[in-house]
Amino acid sequence: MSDKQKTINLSAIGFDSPGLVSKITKKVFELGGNIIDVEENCRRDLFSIFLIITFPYTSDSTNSITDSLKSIEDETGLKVILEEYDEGGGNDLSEKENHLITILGMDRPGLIASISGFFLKHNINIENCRMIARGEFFSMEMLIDSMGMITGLNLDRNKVIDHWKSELKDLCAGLDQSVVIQSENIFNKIQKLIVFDLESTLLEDFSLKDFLGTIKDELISIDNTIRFLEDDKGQMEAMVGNAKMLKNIPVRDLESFSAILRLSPGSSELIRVLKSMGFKIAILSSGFDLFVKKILQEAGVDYAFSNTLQVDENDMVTGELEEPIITNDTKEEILQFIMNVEKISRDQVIAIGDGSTRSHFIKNAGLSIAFKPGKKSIQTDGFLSSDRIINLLYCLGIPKTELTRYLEGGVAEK
Amino acid sequence: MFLIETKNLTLQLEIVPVESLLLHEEVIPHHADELIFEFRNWANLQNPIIVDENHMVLDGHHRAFVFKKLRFNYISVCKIDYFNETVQLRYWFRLFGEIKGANSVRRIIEAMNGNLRQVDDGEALKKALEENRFHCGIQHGDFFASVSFPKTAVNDAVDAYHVMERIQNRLMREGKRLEYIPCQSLQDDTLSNRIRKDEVVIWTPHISKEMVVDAVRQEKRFAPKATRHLIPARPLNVNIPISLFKENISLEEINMRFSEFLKKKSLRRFAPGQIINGRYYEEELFVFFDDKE
Repeated sequence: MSDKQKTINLSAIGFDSPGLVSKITKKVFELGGNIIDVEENCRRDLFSIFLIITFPYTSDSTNSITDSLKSIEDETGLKVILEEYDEGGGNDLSEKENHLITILGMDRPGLIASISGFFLKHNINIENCRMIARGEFFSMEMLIDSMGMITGLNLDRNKVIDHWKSELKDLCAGLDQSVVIQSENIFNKIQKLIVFDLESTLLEDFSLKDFLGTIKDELISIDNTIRFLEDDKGQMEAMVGNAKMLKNIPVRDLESFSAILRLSPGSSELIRVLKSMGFKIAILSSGFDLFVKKILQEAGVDYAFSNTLQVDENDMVTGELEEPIITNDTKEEILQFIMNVEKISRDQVIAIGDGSTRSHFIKNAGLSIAFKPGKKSIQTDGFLSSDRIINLLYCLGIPKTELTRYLEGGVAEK
Repeated sequence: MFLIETKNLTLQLEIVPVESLLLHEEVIPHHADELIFEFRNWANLQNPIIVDENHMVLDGHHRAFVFKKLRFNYISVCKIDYFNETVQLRYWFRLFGEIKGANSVRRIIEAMNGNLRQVDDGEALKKALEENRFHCGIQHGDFFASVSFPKTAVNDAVDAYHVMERIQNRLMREGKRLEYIPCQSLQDDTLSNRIRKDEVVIWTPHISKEMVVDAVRQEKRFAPKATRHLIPARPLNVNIPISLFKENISLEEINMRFSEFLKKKSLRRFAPGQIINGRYYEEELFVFFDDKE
């Protein structure tokens, strides 16, 4: 080893026991070393540590220092690997292009190999990888650096990034996994607001079906020429467009139908955990307040906007809507309004919808996630393909153990 | 002064001297204490209190009380026409939990020389209270009764509320759990069905706007949580810096600054039925905000 460089990498691995870090760092200190970088991990009784150490004041040779450090093996029983640190050998720390990738789904062999192989193909470096959940359900978080990716000549860098992101989503879809990709400008920001499109994320599908069936029967009993859309989720918006159908129906009758609507399993818990984490929660609905107010009130959210039917002095619906009307197109304006009130930027917003026209507003959020997207979904930062909306929490990096503690132990209301 | 014209009502936003505010009900001490602590640390008053033309407080008694207590010079208000028919007066009913039977309530009422008269159902109780303005009511399961007190104890609506407050305090001293519920929510089947066997609801006396104004004229105050004013439109998120209210400047000057402050903001109207800052609003909303984009 050369005597010019007195910066040494130390890696040690072995079975965990109390006092390992203390023994290693004491030895470094005795040799006059200064630790400039450290990472230590314990996984299932296995211990690993990685140190970068400088020796600025010692006159000892590098060989003599490494010999002394090697004695850590005898004191700890760990396998110690020592190397001279070559400062010019790695990437410049200031030139990184990080992305945080969260992958979720049912566990299956070869998942990590497929995904890491994908990054190898693009010359993208995996800097950090941690398991958030493992069991039947699998969730993994990878921090990658795309600075050295293969771009080809004259290709726009952003287009290349978009291309591999899209390719990774296809790969994950093929592996039956959900994936969410957050670029550095997003995951480094403190996210403050989470916006849900009600009909496509938080409402339970069966209850929506029941509800629409009941409403249809009621309306057909009034006018049997009425025709309805096939798409359940689109029916809510269609009803807003045809509010006149509801003319002369007593408010109490319409309100009673709302009892059929329920939040999907895990939604209340999700909102509770998000609130306890300090997020503001907003829900946008293109449905009627009369139908959704009960569940919106029960959800305990910070903001919820829906359409309001005009009611006459006898508490009968007039068939007219109160302005402003919330449509697929105006949800974006409402999101902008909430951001203004909360004084936050788009980068601090996470938006979740199904990616169809009813939730196009999500594309302008810092992090857009399509929940159970259909074929015509817009381009988003990721998608969740399972029925479990609570899986969103894994995209925020909450480990399974922490999540279980939140859900089982109850979360203090703010 | 800053005016917002709504369909049926004009909302007049301005600053008034705190001393000019007229309170028509007392405050709940621990709520006021919490607010005192918060206002000492808050930088802004988010929403103006709502008053009538004579500065009688309709909504925001605790904030008004605390502003007086903390010796602020001024406060932002939203002035409305109280006697506009779209401004409605409702009441807060009291729901007590952990009560074994109506007998424990009956015992307290009789000890205070009150008289219980059983009626058939909720409709009959409602009618009885409409006809006898100083009566209150008891509901426990299928048992409904109108409650009256001798004239020596109850001469007007303010007295009626204070007597009811004494019943309430006795029950609370016995460890019963209290919840305030909007009077009309009992017509909501969901809540009516939710009332359990060990819960008793006290229906508070019916009062009119005239009675509220009379009480203020006579410098009397109702017990806490007497009135519940339903105002058809409301300004939100005014967010005026509290430091302004302590400045030693003229009313004219501070109103000029207030008006300028509001003119710089954007204003968005929302139909009734939205949730903003965690609260469901049944009224039309006018929300101020700073335009960022």
